[in-house]
Amino acid sequence: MFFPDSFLASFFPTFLTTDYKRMQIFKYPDLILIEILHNMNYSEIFLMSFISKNMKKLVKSYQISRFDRIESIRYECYPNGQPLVYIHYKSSSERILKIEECDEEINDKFQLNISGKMIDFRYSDQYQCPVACCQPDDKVYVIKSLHDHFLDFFGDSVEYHFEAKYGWKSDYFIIPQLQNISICSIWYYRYGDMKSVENFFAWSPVFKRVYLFHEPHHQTENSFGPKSKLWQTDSIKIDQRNPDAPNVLHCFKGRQAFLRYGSGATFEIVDFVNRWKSGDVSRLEYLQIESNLVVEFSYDPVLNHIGVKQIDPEKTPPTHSVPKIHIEKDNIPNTDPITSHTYVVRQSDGRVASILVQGKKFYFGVWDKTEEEFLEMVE
Amino acid sequence: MSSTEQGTSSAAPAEPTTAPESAAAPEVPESFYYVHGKDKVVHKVSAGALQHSALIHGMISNLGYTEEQAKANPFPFENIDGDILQMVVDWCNQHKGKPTPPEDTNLPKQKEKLFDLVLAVNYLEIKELLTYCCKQVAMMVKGKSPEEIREIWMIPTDAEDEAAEKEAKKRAGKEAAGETAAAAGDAK
Repeated sequence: MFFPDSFLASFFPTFLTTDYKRMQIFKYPDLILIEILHNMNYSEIFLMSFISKNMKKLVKSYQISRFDRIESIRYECYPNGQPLVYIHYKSSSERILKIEECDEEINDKFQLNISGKMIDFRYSDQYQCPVACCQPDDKVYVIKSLHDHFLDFFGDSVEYHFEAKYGWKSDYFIIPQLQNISICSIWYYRYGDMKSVENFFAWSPVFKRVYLFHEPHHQTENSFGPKSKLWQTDSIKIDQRNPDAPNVLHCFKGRQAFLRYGSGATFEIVDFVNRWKSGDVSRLEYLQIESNLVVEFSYDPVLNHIGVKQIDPEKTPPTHSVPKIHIEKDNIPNTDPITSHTYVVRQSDGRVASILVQGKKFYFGVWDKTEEEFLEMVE
Repeated sequence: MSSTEQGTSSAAPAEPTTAPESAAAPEVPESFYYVHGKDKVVHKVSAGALQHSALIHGMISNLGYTEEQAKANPFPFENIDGDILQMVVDWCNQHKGKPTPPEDTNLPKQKEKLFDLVLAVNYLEIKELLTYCCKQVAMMVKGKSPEEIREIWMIPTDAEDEAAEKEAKKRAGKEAAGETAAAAGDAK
């Protein structure tokens, strides 16, 4: 049996009706576009999204499933004054943008319209990502524009982190006020920055997580005030080298606190536990304090001043551990377990908190259980 | 392996020459099929090589051709350039019965050829080759400025998109007006 050519041709629909020598990427079939974008890294895809409105729509529509993997976008401002933007996904991260001071001699610059603002860029082979070039004073403005672009792209589906490390030099102190930032980490070492940091917290919404590392010279001049929005943060981690006593324990109104001090702060701990027992500090579920003191030291004496109760030493106490509000790079999802025979009871509602002292570490874990319910868990 | 000859798809093609196959089990002779592109050059390709193409593989299964029928009825791909079809056939032959490597460095570097190859491969449903090609297309814009990307991928600017949209609306309006006028004329 032989078939005429026209018969065979009927099995092959004409798929190239346009002049495909002048093919635009937008005219590729969906499958091809998806496959091409799949082979691009995030920085390339984001660069594509800046090219035109239609390209942005295309990237958005074809990359939805890929963007679902993105957990957060992080802005890093380090002492070299050249902020970087990373995206995080499944315990991995990718640098997608860099911001640096403009060098007039660079010829291969190009301009992009980022959230309505024209910004100079160049491509960096060294960093393998686009670099936004700007004057030193424009860095905050550039970060804000980029952040607006990401907000438009992702909305609330990802978390936004701001991470800044500031040295002794004041030249590179960048602390932009960005919407929807939920997590921030700030390292700072010098006088004069507190006001900017305080303003940053005042302007921002309540954070899910704040990490502060600071070495102020004098606590009274540099601590955040008791009304600072910082204390409403859900989870706080403070690493303070200052030998003076911290005021965190007096002000914090959030749920989880991880503190490290250059002092023992025993008086503050006693005051804190007594306030907790009287019904203050109602939201707290976990507190961990570690002293940086190099001398021999223990929190054991604290137990003599807070009216602790003891579980029968022959019995096994229950272990307290709660999911961390923010999982750090170590990927440990829960707080350190507290298995202790020592506990205190809150007078207002009879709730119990386990207390564990291990040398320079003090742990305080609040149970959503009355003393009776708590003791039923003892084996 | 394949061979090519100049011919037309309407006439029965002359016997294409076949490169010697490596020593294979003689008791199961391999079946061959024939394809040609826009240039009418007929390529003889083994069924094993054609398995890469889901489209042709499906066709072969459905048609149930004998050797004579296959020879007399080469599959016509009139919209695929001859050199592009040659590339596809060569790739299918090279990768016949072999696991496909993670990279393929033999793909064309010229923009037009690669675009054509992508379309042809997509149409012929050769998944692995499509993956390589798309990777190559993505590589074309690596480290390029938006202007360069625009040029390579022919992406219009926002202004061009807006102008094109306006033009399309204008045209649609004129067409609608024309249809209305024609309908009114018919009614009279």
